[in-house]
Order: sequence, then structure tokens, then C-alpha cells
Amino acid sequence: MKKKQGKILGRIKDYNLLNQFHQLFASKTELRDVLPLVLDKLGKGLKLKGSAIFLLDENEQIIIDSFICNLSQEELNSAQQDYKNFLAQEGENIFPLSVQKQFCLLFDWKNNRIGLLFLYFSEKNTQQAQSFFLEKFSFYLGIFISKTNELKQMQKSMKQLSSLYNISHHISGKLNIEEILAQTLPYLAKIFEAEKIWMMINKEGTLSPIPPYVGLSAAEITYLYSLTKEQLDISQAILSTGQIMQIPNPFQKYSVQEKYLQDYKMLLIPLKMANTPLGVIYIADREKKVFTLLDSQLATSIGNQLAAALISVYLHKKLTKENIALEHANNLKTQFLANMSHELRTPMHSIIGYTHCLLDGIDGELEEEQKKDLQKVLISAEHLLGLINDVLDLSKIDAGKMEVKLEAFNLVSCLNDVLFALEKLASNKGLEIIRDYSEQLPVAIGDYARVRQILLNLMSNAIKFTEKGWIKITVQIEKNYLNIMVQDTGIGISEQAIPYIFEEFRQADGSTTRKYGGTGLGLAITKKLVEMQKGKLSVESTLGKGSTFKFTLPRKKEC
Amino acid sequence: MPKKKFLILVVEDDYNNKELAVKILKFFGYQTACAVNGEEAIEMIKKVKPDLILMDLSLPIMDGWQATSLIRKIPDCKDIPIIAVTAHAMGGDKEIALEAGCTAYISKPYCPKQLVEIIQQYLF
Repeated sequence: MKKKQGKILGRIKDYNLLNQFHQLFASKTELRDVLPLVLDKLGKGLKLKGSAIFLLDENEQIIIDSFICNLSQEELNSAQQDYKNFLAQEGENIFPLSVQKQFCLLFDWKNNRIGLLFLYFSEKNTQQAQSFFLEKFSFYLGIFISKTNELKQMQKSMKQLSSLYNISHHISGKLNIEEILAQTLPYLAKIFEAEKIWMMINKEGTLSPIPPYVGLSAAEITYLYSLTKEQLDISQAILSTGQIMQIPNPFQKYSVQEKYLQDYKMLLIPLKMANTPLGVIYIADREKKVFTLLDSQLATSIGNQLAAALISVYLHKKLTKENIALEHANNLKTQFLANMSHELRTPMHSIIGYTHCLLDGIDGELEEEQKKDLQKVLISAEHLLGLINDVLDLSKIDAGKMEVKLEAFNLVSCLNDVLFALEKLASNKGLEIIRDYSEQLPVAIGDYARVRQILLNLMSNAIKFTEKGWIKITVQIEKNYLNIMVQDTGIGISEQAIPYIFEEFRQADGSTTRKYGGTGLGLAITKKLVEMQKGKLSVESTLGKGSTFKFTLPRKKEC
Repeated sequence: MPKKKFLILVVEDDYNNKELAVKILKFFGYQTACAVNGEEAIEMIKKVKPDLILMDLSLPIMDGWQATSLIRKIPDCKDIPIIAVTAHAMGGDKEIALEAGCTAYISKPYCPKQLVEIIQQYLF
């Protein structure tokens, strides 16, 4: 009866103690905070001399962490020697070692062995009374440890994911390798909780360090620069296979005497894109026992992102280089054309000037037939000069060398200026010029000289291609634009030809060139000049009835 | 036809074009002097004191812009009419010419009438 009573009282005591541990487990999430308290409380509750908790790796083999309470070094050593014997046994989870010493196995909720609890009793152990408590206690402790680890792992994964996001966010759009590394490497150090991180870049088959470096001393950087091709063979190998590798030190192949980076565990991430080996990222840490599977999955993903960023840097550099070469060639072309056009104009000036002298009778009166011939020389010479000027204009526009000032100007005076110049040409052909615009037009934004060139071209075309009727110039005032229209009653343009008339060296029909002359460059230049002034040039035409060319000019600078 | 025989300095490096200008100017009754580059022009001005200068802009050794701005610094030469002869009417040459101190400009190629008309604006 008394024995039974004692047993019941013992159970109540056990439950009370278990309950206290429950509360302790529920209140903390850091093993480092809890486990020393657990050992302390356990020591008092069970009257222990000392105790220890050993945590095991994933393979249930190696102790990866330990918490010790009141054990001498000798006692600890013997406990560490003994634990393997118990791990070899299946089924049991409490092992009395002697009357005073005892081991308990700790399991997680999936029945994996995650650790051991070592107890050293101060007085003779009444095993029966303890086993119920220890069984329950070790069960709860195991679950607590495994849950805490899982939580920690989850937090770490979350952190890694957000770092991963940060990396991709920071490197997208960066066009400089140093900048990309400066943004990425510190994040990698955080993700992998590593001391040192650096990259070795592949230049024509040779790996060499590239700044910035994380955690490397000047001596270590110098050491990295001194590495030979042999020492870098592992790095080269992973660069060709594209496989991530975990290794103590990949540079010590031929000499174990290396002073630098000796005790470091390293994770090597190859950077490779579309079979182009770009380089290797080295993540090194002394404390770290292993880089986990999760680490290397993450590393692969980061490696891919970095490789993509680097390849875009290379492509951009290549493009920029090609662009510079192209621009240089283009500048040479423009310079050539500018020189050329000057050289061409000098003799043209002589040809046209002396022809005028002859026609004006400066060298004496000429026969009618001689005058007619010289007129033809003059027309051809002026046509040739027009071609030279047009080619130069076009090449200037194409090379981006044509300067256009976008400023407010008086369109009416520009229109009047052009009409004054062309009036005689029109009246010679018996054509009427109709001015369908107010003399009080609002200002337009553009370059007076270029707009004059546009109007001159459109109107002289209208006069050229119209045999009888009229030419009408209309200006409509829109909210943001002025619409300028040049309408004629001339030969018109066929529907099929319209798409081509703004192309260089094209007239609606090859025969028009013979009949009407012209360089075939006028409309191409006109269109480009309109567009340079933020306007649009369009045409409507009916064959045989006439054409309307319309262009817009902005009224405000922002348009 | 002008009553007084005005002296016009023709600055032009191309022989044929220089001869053309001289021919036209002589026909209309002007006296002429010639220079083939900016440096020569400045020397000549100090010697002959022309009434007007016809200044081609693209010249070897010293171009027309530079010569014009130097001529403007010579005492008594501030007000000599200098007519720039620009190569391309659409280019920015003429603005630079006026900035350098030219009085007016005429674009090549010109016909005799155009040349004389512009000169007559300054010499009468």
C-alpha cells in the first residue's frame, strides 16, 4: 500500500517536473538559450552531478553541437567515447551505463535520432523511478530540438529567398562587372553565413581574381593572384562541367604547406552561360562544417543569375565597341562627304560663274545658238550642284550632324519669304498661287532655315509637276500643332507609287526624272527635316488631278 | 557704274574662281587686289587699304573666319565691309562668318549680277 502510494507520489512529482520543462520549451526558440537552462533544471530535479546534450548530424554519426553542465573534461571525454556504442543498437532509447551514468537517445517526430542526453547521477540511481520520467522527457526534448531546428531552417530559407530576390533586383540593368559583384558578394556572404567571398574571372582561358572581395586580406588577394594554372585545375574543371563543388581547399594540390586559406571549407560556384565559361565564385568559411544541399541549390540559382548578368555586360561592351567603330566610320564618311562637297563645289562655281559671264556678255556679245547651248550648260551645272547639296544634306542627317534649332519662329514670314522666291517661277508657267492662311498665325516651334527648305521643296515640286491650275498653301491651327498644306492641280501620284516617293533617289516613276528633272532626294530630305522638328509629313494624291502634301509643326516645345 | 574707282580685295585660294571674281569686278569698273589665304590678305590690307574685301571662308594657312576677326583688330579696318563667300547656303557657315565680323555673305556659286548687287549696297 505504502509502495503504491509512493509510486503515485513519484508520478505526480514527475508530471510536475515535466510540466515545468513544457513551459520552458514553449517560451524559447533558441537552443543556445534553452538547453543550458534545461540541463540546470534537470540537474536539480534529478539530483545530478553533471549532464550533457550532444546533437548529431543528418547521418546520425558526428556530434555537431554539444551543451555541457558540470562535467569534468575526463567525464566528458569518456561520455563522447561511449555514445557510439548506443547509436549502434536498435530499439532501445535509454541505456544505463553504470549505476551512476546513463544515456538517453533523443528522437525527432519522424523517429530520426538527432542527439543524446548524458546523465551523471550524484548518488546511486533508482533506475525504476527515473525511467518513466526520462522516457517522456527525452521524447519532448527531442521534438523541441527538432522543431526549433526546423523553424531556424525555415527562417534561414526565408532570408535566403529574400536575399536572392535582392540580388536579382540589384544586378538587373547593371552594366559593369565590378558594380554587379559589389552588389552581389555581400549578399552571398549573408546568405551562406560565410567569412570570405570572391570571384575569379575567366579571361581567355585563365582565371584571375577580380575585385571587389569580401573578407580577404591584402596578403590573401596577392596569394590568389599568384595561383598557378595547376593550382587552379579544380576550378577550371568545375568551370567546364558546370557542377558546384564543395572542397576543403582547391588550391593545395601540390603543396600542403600553403599558408593561406588553409582551414577553409569552400563552395565553388561555376558561372557559365550558353557554354561560355565566365568565372568561378568562391565561398569560404572556417567555422562551417558543411554546406548543405539547400546551400548548393541556392548557389546554383545565384550562379545562373550572376552568369546572366555578366553575359549581358559582355554583350553590352561588345555592342558599345562595335557602335564606337561604326560611329567612327560614319564620322569619316561625313567628313569625307563634307570635304568632297567642298571640292566639288569649287569647280562648280567656276563652271556656273564663267557661264554666267559669257551669257551676260561680259566677254562680248554671243550668237543666239551659242546662248542656247550655254543655257543648257547652266541648267545641267545647277542640277549637278543641287545633287551635291542634297547628298551632303542627306549624309549630314544620316550621320546625325544636321543641326536643327527648335525655337519659336514666325511661320508667316517664312511662307512669304518662300513664296516671294517662287512667285516668278509659278507665274512663268501661268499658275496661280493661293494663300489660304491668316497673316496672324501663332508662332511655330522649329528651325526657320529648315522650314524654309521644306516649304521651298514642297512648293517647287508643286510648281514643277503642275502644268495648269493653281498651287494653294493652307495653314490650319490645331491645339498643339500647325498643319501646313501644299496643294496642287498637277499630274498627281499613283496609289502604287505613293509608298516610295519618300525614299532616296526615287521619283514616282523613272520617266518623271527625265521629263521633270530633280535629284530624287528632295522628299527624302524633306521628310527627315520634318521629323527632326517633331512633325509629320504625309501625302494625299489622285493621279491626274493633283497632290496635297501636309506637314505638321508643334506649337509648344514639349509637344 | 561707280564714279570713283573702288579697290576690292579678293581673297580666294582657287585660281579660276579668283580670276572669275576679278573678271566680273573689273567689268563693273572696280579695281582689284588679290590674296590666296588669310595671312596674305592681312599683309595686303596693310599695304593697299581696300574699300571692300571679298573673303572666301575655306582657305589654307589661315581661314577666312580667323582672318576676318584679325582684320577687325587692325586700326582703321573696323569698318571695312567684308563680304563672306560661303560654300553652302544651308550650313552654319554664314552665322559663324557674321559672328567673326563679316558684314554680309554671298553663297557660291553666285552669278555676276548677285555679286555686284551686294557690293553696291556698300560701295556707292
